[in-house]
Amino acid sequence: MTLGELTAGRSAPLLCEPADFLDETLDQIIAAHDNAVIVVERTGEIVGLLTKDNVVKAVQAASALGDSIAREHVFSWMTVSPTQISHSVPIDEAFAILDRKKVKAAIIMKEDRPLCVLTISDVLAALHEQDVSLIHEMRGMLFRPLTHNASLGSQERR
Amino acid sequence: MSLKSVIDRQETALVKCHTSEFVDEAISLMIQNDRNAVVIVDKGDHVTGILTDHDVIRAVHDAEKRGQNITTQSVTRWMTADVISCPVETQLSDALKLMGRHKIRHLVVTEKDAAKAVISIRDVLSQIHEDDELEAEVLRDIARASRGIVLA
Repeated sequence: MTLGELTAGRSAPLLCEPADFLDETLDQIIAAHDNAVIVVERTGEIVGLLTKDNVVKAVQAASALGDSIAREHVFSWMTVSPTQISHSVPIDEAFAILDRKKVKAAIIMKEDRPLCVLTISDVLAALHEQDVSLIHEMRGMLFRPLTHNASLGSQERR
Repeated sequence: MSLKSVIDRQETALVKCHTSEFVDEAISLMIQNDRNAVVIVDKGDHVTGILTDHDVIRAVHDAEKRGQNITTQSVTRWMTADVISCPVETQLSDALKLMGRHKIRHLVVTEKDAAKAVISIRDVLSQIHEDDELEAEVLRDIARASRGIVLA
Protein backbone atom coordinates (compact mmCIF):
# COMPACT_ATOMS: atom_id res chain seq x y z
CA MET A 1 0.00 0.00 0.00
CA THR A 2 1.28 3.49 -0.86
CA LEU A 3 0.73 6.71 1.05
CA GLY A 4 -1.48 7.89 -1.82
CA GLU A 5 -3.77 4.88 -1.35
CA LEU A 6 -3.79 5.35 2.41
CA THR A 7 -4.76 9.00 2.20
CA ALA A 8 -7.24 8.76 -0.68
CA GLY A 9 -10.40 10.71 0.07
CA ARG A 10 -8.86 12.88 2.77
CA SER A 11 -9.85 16.53 2.75
CA ALA A 12 -7.37 19.18 1.63
CA PRO A 13 -4.76 20.15 4.25
CA LEU A 14 -4.90 23.36 6.27
CA LEU A 15 -2.54 26.05 5.03
CA CYS A 16 -1.27 29.26 6.59
CA GLU A 17 1.48 31.80 6.01
CA PRO A 18 4.59 32.24 8.18
CA ALA A 19 3.52 35.73 9.25
CA ASP A 20 0.07 34.62 10.43
CA PHE A 21 -0.66 34.89 14.14
CA LEU A 22 -0.73 31.75 16.26
CA ASP A 23 -4.16 32.40 17.76
CA GLU A 24 -5.72 32.75 14.28
CA THR A 25 -4.01 29.56 13.14
CA LEU A 26 -5.25 27.81 16.27
CA ASP A 27 -8.78 28.88 15.27
CA GLN A 28 -8.23 27.10 11.94
CA ILE A 29 -6.98 23.91 13.65
CA ILE A 30 -9.93 23.81 16.08
CA ALA A 31 -12.54 24.60 13.42
CA ALA A 32 -11.23 21.87 11.11
CA HIS A 33 -10.73 19.31 13.94
CA ASP A 34 -7.24 18.89 12.54
CA ASN A 35 -3.82 18.40 14.14
CA ALA A 36 -1.48 20.45 11.98
CA VAL A 37 -1.20 23.29 9.48
CA ILE A 38 1.21 23.42 6.55
CA VAL A 39 3.06 26.74 6.41
CA VAL A 40 3.51 28.08 2.88
CA GLU A 41 4.96 31.24 1.42
CA ARG A 42 2.83 33.23 -1.03
CA THR A 43 4.91 31.64 -3.80
CA GLY A 44 3.52 28.26 -2.71
CA GLU A 45 6.83 27.07 -1.25
CA ILE A 46 6.41 24.93 1.87
CA VAL A 47 8.52 26.39 4.66
CA GLY A 48 7.16 24.73 7.77
CA LEU A 49 4.64 22.64 9.63
CA LEU A 50 2.79 23.81 12.72
CA THR A 51 1.58 20.96 14.92
CA LYS A 52 -0.20 20.82 18.26
CA ASP A 53 3.19 20.12 19.89
CA ASN A 54 4.51 23.41 18.50
CA VAL A 55 1.47 25.30 19.80
CA VAL A 56 1.81 23.74 23.27
CA LYS A 57 5.48 24.83 23.40
CA ALA A 58 4.52 28.36 22.34
CA VAL A 59 1.85 28.47 25.05
CA GLN A 60 4.36 27.37 27.68
CA ALA A 61 6.85 30.05 26.66
CA ALA A 62 4.19 32.77 26.53
CA SER A 63 2.58 31.83 29.86
CA ALA A 64 6.01 31.79 31.56
CA LEU A 65 6.19 35.48 30.64
CA GLY A 66 2.59 36.05 31.73
CA ASP A 67 1.65 36.60 28.11
CA SER A 68 -0.64 34.96 25.55
CA ILE A 69 0.12 33.52 22.11
CA ALA A 70 -1.97 36.20 20.37
CA ARG A 71 1.06 38.25 19.35
CA GLU A 72 3.18 35.27 18.36
CA HIS A 73 3.78 34.55 14.69
CA VAL A 74 3.65 31.10 13.15
CA PHE A 75 7.24 31.34 11.85
CA SER A 76 8.58 31.60 15.40
CA TRP A 77 7.11 28.23 16.42
CA MET A 78 6.68 26.10 13.30
CA THR A 79 8.88 23.12 12.52
CA VAL A 80 11.19 24.43 9.81
CA SER A 81 11.84 22.28 6.70
CA PRO A 82 9.30 19.59 7.59
CA THR A 83 9.63 16.08 6.26
CA GLN A 84 7.95 15.67 2.87
CA ILE A 85 7.23 12.23 1.42
CA SER A 86 5.87 11.42 -2.02
CA HIS A 87 2.40 9.86 -2.21
CA SER A 88 3.89 7.00 -4.27
CA VAL A 89 6.07 5.78 -1.36
CA PRO A 90 4.92 2.49 0.23
CA ILE A 91 3.81 2.77 3.87
CA ASP A 92 6.64 0.61 5.23
CA GLU A 93 9.21 2.92 3.61
CA ALA A 94 7.34 5.94 4.97
CA PHE A 95 7.52 4.47 8.47
CA ALA A 96 11.26 3.89 8.06
CA ILE A 97 11.72 7.55 7.03
CA LEU A 98 9.70 8.89 10.00
CA ASP A 99 11.47 6.53 12.39
CA ARG A 100 14.94 7.42 11.08
CA LYS A 101 14.24 11.16 11.25
CA LYS A 102 12.51 10.83 14.64
CA VAL A 103 9.57 12.93 13.51
CA LYS A 104 5.92 12.42 14.40
CA ALA A 105 4.37 13.83 11.23
CA ALA A 106 5.14 14.40 7.56
CA ILE A 107 3.59 16.20 4.61
CA ILE A 108 2.45 13.86 1.86
CA MET A 109 3.21 15.34 -1.54
CA LYS A 110 1.88 14.72 -5.04
CA GLU A 111 4.40 16.36 -7.32
CA ASP A 112 4.70 19.89 -5.87
CA ARG A 113 1.31 19.86 -4.16
CA PRO A 114 0.75 18.92 -0.49
CA LEU A 115 -1.97 16.26 -0.21
CA CYS A 116 -2.24 16.04 3.58
CA VAL A 117 -0.34 15.70 6.85
CA LEU A 118 0.13 12.17 8.09
CA THR A 119 1.19 11.20 11.61
CA ILE A 120 3.35 8.24 12.54
CA SER A 121 0.29 6.74 14.27
CA ASP A 122 -1.66 6.84 10.97
CA VAL A 123 1.20 5.02 9.25
CA LEU A 124 1.61 2.48 12.07
CA ALA A 125 -2.13 1.70 12.08
CA ALA A 126 -2.04 1.03 8.32
CA LEU A 127 1.14 -1.02 8.66
CA HIS A 128 -0.50 -3.15 11.36
CA GLU A 129 -3.43 -3.95 9.05
CA GLN A 130 -0.98 -4.85 6.29
CA ASP A 131 1.13 -6.97 8.69
CA VAL A 132 -1.94 -8.82 9.97
CA SER A 133 -3.04 -9.86 6.49
CA LEU A 134 0.53 -10.83 5.53
CA ILE A 135 0.91 -12.98 8.67
CA HIS A 136 -2.50 -14.56 8.09
CA GLU A 137 -1.52 -15.40 4.50
CA MET A 138 1.88 -16.82 5.54
CA ARG A 139 0.31 -18.94 8.27
CA GLY A 140 -2.21 -20.27 5.76
CA MET A 141 0.50 -21.19 3.26
CA LEU A 142 2.75 -22.79 5.87
CA PHE A 143 0.31 -24.71 8.03
CA ARG A 144 -2.42 -25.71 5.55
CA PRO A 145 -0.26 -28.47 4.00
CA LEU A 146 0.50 -29.86 7.48
CA THR A 147 -3.21 -29.89 8.43
CA HIS A 148 -4.03 -31.41 5.04
CA ASN A 149 -1.36 -34.14 5.45
CA ALA A 150 -2.49 -34.84 9.00
CA SER A 151 -6.09 -35.36 7.85
CA LEU A 152 -4.88 -37.61 4.99
CA GLY A 153 -2.90 -39.65 7.51
CA SER A 154 -5.91 -40.13 9.76
CA GLN A 155 -7.98 -41.22 6.74
CA GLU A 156 -5.33 -43.78 5.77
CA ARG A 157 -5.26 -45.18 9.32
CA ARG A 158 -9.00 -45.71 9.12
CA MET B 1 2.34 -9.32 24.58
CA SER B 2 0.90 -7.12 27.33
CA LEU B 3 1.00 -3.38 28.07
CA LYS B 4 3.85 -4.07 30.50
CA SER B 5 6.17 -4.42 27.49
CA VAL B 6 5.32 -0.85 26.47
CA ILE B 7 5.60 0.61 29.97
CA ASP B 8 8.95 -1.05 30.68
CA ARG B 9 10.46 0.88 27.78
CA GLN B 10 9.33 4.29 29.02
CA GLU B 11 11.57 6.47 31.14
CA THR B 12 8.64 8.35 32.65
CA ALA B 13 5.50 6.31 32.35
CA LEU B 14 3.28 8.40 34.60
CA VAL B 15 3.15 12.18 34.94
CA LYS B 16 0.79 13.39 37.64
CA CYS B 17 -0.76 16.78 38.25
CA HIS B 18 -2.94 17.73 41.21
CA THR B 19 -6.52 18.95 40.96
CA SER B 20 -5.42 22.25 42.48
CA GLU B 21 -3.01 23.00 39.63
CA PHE B 22 -3.50 25.09 36.51
CA VAL B 23 -3.26 24.29 32.82
CA ASP B 24 0.10 26.08 32.40
CA GLU B 25 1.59 23.89 35.13
CA ALA B 26 0.27 20.78 33.39
CA ILE B 27 1.81 21.99 30.10
CA SER B 28 5.19 22.42 31.79
CA LEU B 29 5.00 18.86 33.13
CA MET B 30 4.11 17.54 29.66
CA ILE B 31 7.04 19.32 28.03
CA GLN B 32 9.56 18.46 30.77
CA ASN B 33 8.64 14.78 30.52
CA ASP B 34 8.04 14.70 26.77
CA ARG B 35 4.52 13.30 27.26
CA ASN B 36 1.25 14.26 25.60
CA ALA B 37 -0.95 13.53 28.61
CA VAL B 38 -0.94 13.81 32.40
CA VAL B 39 -3.23 12.18 34.93
CA ILE B 40 -5.00 14.44 37.40
CA VAL B 41 -5.02 13.18 40.97
CA ASP B 42 -6.72 14.42 44.12
CA LYS B 43 -5.18 14.86 47.58
CA GLY B 44 -5.56 11.13 48.21
CA ASP B 45 -3.63 10.41 44.98
CA HIS B 46 -6.77 9.00 43.35
CA VAL B 47 -7.07 9.55 39.60
CA THR B 48 -9.88 12.01 38.88
CA GLY B 49 -9.12 12.76 35.25
CA ILE B 50 -6.72 12.88 32.33
CA LEU B 51 -5.52 16.00 30.54
CA THR B 52 -4.14 15.54 27.03
CA ASP B 53 -2.52 17.90 24.52
CA HIS B 54 -5.90 18.00 22.79
CA ASP B 55 -7.55 19.33 26.00
CA VAL B 56 -4.73 21.86 26.39
CA ILE B 57 -5.29 23.16 22.86
CA ARG B 58 -9.02 23.55 23.59
CA ALA B 59 -8.24 25.36 26.84
CA VAL B 60 -5.81 27.74 25.15
CA HIS B 61 -8.26 28.44 22.34
CA ASP B 62 -11.07 29.16 24.80
CA ALA B 63 -8.86 31.40 26.95
CA GLU B 64 -7.69 33.35 23.89
CA LYS B 65 -11.29 33.88 22.79
CA ARG B 66 -12.26 35.22 26.21
CA GLY B 67 -9.14 37.36 26.55
CA GLN B 68 -8.08 35.27 29.53
CA ASN B 69 -4.84 33.55 30.40
CA ILE B 70 -4.43 29.80 30.90
CA THR B 71 -2.54 30.47 34.12
CA THR B 72 -5.97 30.98 35.68
CA GLN B 73 -7.56 27.88 34.12
CA SER B 74 -7.83 24.93 36.49
CA VAL B 75 -6.88 21.54 35.11
CA THR B 76 -10.17 20.15 36.45
CA ARG B 77 -12.10 22.40 34.07
CA TRP B 78 -10.42 20.93 30.98
CA MET B 79 -9.55 17.37 31.96
CA THR B 80 -11.59 14.38 30.83
CA ALA B 81 -13.12 13.04 34.03
CA ASP B 82 -14.40 9.84 32.47
CA VAL B 83 -11.04 8.06 32.50
CA ILE B 84 -10.72 4.86 30.49
CA SER B 85 -8.24 2.53 32.14
CA CYS B 86 -7.10 -1.06 31.93
CA PRO B 87 -4.78 -3.31 33.93
CA VAL B 88 -1.11 -3.69 33.02
CA GLU B 89 -1.70 -7.33 32.02
CA THR B 90 -4.00 -6.26 29.16
CA GLN B 91 -2.90 -7.54 25.77
CA LEU B 92 -1.77 -4.90 23.28
CA SER B 93 -4.45 -5.88 20.76
CA ASP B 94 -7.15 -5.55 23.44
CA ALA B 95 -5.81 -2.12 24.46
CA LEU B 96 -5.94 -1.05 20.82
CA LYS B 97 -9.55 -2.24 20.54
CA LEU B 98 -10.44 -0.39 23.76
CA MET B 99 -8.98 2.84 22.38
CA GLY B 100 -10.86 2.35 19.11
CA ARG B 101 -14.15 1.64 20.87
CA HIS B 102 -13.90 4.79 23.00
CA LYS B 103 -12.26 6.88 20.25
CA ILE B 104 -9.39 7.88 22.54
CA ARG B 105 -5.65 8.18 22.02
CA HIS B 106 -4.48 7.71 25.62
CA LEU B 107 -5.16 5.01 28.19
CA VAL B 108 -4.45 4.99 31.91
CA VAL B 109 -2.79 1.70 32.82
CA THR B 110 -3.34 0.41 36.34
CA GLU B 111 -1.55 -2.05 38.58
CA LYS B 112 -3.24 -3.22 41.79
CA ASP B 113 -5.90 -0.52 41.22
CA ALA B 114 -3.31 2.30 41.21
CA ALA B 115 -2.37 4.31 38.11
CA LYS B 116 0.96 3.07 36.77
CA ALA B 117 1.24 4.74 33.38
CA VAL B 118 -0.42 6.66 30.59
CA ILE B 119 0.17 5.11 27.20
CA SER B 120 -0.59 6.59 23.81
CA ILE B 121 -1.96 4.85 20.75
CA ARG B 122 1.45 5.46 19.13
CA ASP B 123 3.21 3.58 21.96
CA VAL B 124 0.86 0.62 21.50
CA LEU B 125 1.04 0.61 17.69
CA SER B 126 4.86 0.83 17.76
CA GLN B 127 5.11 -2.22 20.00
CA ILE B 128 2.52 -4.14 17.97
CA HIS B 129 4.45 -3.34 14.78
CA GLU B 130 7.66 -4.70 16.30
CA ASP B 131 5.82 -7.87 17.37
CA ASP B 132 4.26 -8.24 13.90
CA GLU B 133 7.67 -7.88 12.26
CA LEU B 134 9.11 -10.52 14.57
CA GLU B 135 6.27 -12.94 13.88
CA ALA B 136 6.58 -12.44 10.12
CA GLU B 137 10.33 -13.08 10.36
CA VAL B 138 9.77 -16.31 12.31
CA LEU B 139 7.22 -17.46 9.71
CA ARG B 140 9.70 -16.66 6.90
CA ASP B 141 12.35 -18.74 8.71
CA ILE B 142 9.91 -21.65 9.04
CA ALA B 143 9.09 -21.36 5.33
CA ARG B 144 12.79 -21.38 4.42
CA ALA B 145 13.46 -24.33 6.70
CA SER B 146 10.52 -26.34 5.36
CA ARG B 147 11.70 -25.70 1.78
CA GLY B 148 15.11 -27.04 2.87
CA ILE B 149 13.50 -30.23 4.25
CA VAL B 150 11.58 -30.78 1.02
CA LEU B 151 14.73 -30.25 -1.06
CA ALA B 152 16.73 -32.63 1.16
